[in-house]
Amino acid sequence: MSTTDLERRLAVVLQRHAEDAMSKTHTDERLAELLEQTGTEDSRRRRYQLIGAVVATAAVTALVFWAATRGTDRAEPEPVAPITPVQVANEYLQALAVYDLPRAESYFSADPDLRLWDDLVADVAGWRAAQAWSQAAGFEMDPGACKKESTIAPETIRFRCPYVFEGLGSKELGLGPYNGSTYVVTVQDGAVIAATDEFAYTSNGYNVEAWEPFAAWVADNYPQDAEVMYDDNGNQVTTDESTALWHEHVFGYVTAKLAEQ
Amino acid sequence: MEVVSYPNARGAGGRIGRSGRTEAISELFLAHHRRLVGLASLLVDERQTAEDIVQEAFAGLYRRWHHLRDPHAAVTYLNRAVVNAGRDELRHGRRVVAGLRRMTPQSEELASAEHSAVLHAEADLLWQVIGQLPHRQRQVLVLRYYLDQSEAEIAETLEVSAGSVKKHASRGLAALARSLEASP
Repeated sequence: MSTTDLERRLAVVLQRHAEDAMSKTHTDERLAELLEQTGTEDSRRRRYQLIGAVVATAAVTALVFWAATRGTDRAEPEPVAPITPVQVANEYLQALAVYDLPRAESYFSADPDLRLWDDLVADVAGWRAAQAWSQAAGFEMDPGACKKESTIAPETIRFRCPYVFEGLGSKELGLGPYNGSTYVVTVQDGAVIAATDEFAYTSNGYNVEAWEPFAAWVADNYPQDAEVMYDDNGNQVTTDESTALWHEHVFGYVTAKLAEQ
Repeated sequence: MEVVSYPNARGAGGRIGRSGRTEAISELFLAHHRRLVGLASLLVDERQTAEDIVQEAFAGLYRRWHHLRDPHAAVTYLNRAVVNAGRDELRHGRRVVAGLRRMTPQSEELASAEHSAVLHAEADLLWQVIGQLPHRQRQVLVLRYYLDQSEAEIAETLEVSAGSVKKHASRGLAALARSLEASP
């Protein structure tokens, strides 16, 4: 095995292991824990400072000082500036890019209009399944800045958010990234009410370079699994069983192709 | 993409004050937490430990917030804190964890197909050998092949010379190659 081959395999193994850990963490919950922890530390630190002041000064003076400081500590936090519509669109895409689904969902309105590739309509459960499949298939989205397309109503703005992507091991195999795709995100009253993935795959070489070769490899090596992974039209199936197979076979495909190089 | 890039701290480092600091740390957390958990998971042997290391890195950043040079220093601080904590963790906990890991049953999925099993076995072996490398070699390989850092960047992160980085990378790769060649 050449050094270059070993380096490629090493990169793939590290990437997969890290992705596995990242997919299991819960950023929102951990952030809440951090804020609770740092808030507690601040309170403790202030208490120690006050004790020092009491020791160093006369009791009466210290008590006055303590009361004044306590009053300052109890001041309300500075208000956080409200998030703007374009920030909502950008933050939604950023959360999606790292597969932080709870964070992405936090931007949804009560009943968002979600459309996946090929204008496929999905409810939130279907959207989650689609994201799980995307992650399993190694899709990595690198979003650009969202730009306003139109103002539908005073509180309803539609944004176009271009992105480039890698998928099915294209990055590990030295292909891509693939451009030309856009998320169309509509924001109303600070929430995403619609999001459509205008996924480009024929104009940018992705279909020829990545999708078709992988499909052919699966059909040749795992014909029974291919029936689970693809529907009758050759589109991906996003059930849990299928998604697990995509994850396994994309990894195997990349490893096999690297071994051939 | 997320794991190899270093998005800037979006001006967070310039903010002063309790609520400003909390807001800025929160922004950094949302932007970098998952990436750092991924990085830490490559430097220690257990995912929960990796999560704890990242958590402590952010808590440390919170405490040192007013000493940061500029906004970009926050991300550098977090990367370095995670790498160093990973090293400390391995120094103190490796023997126990290594013993536990061998008792962990293999996933049934991994043995589903013969060909797939071979590929996964090789990947598993590679990962196992990475876990047995001296901590400095492991750090250098992770920073080089996961974060895609240059020798100069790795030298800065680990606070060692570029020559030392090259030496550890070379020895680490050689160890991996020997292990793969020796495997059946």
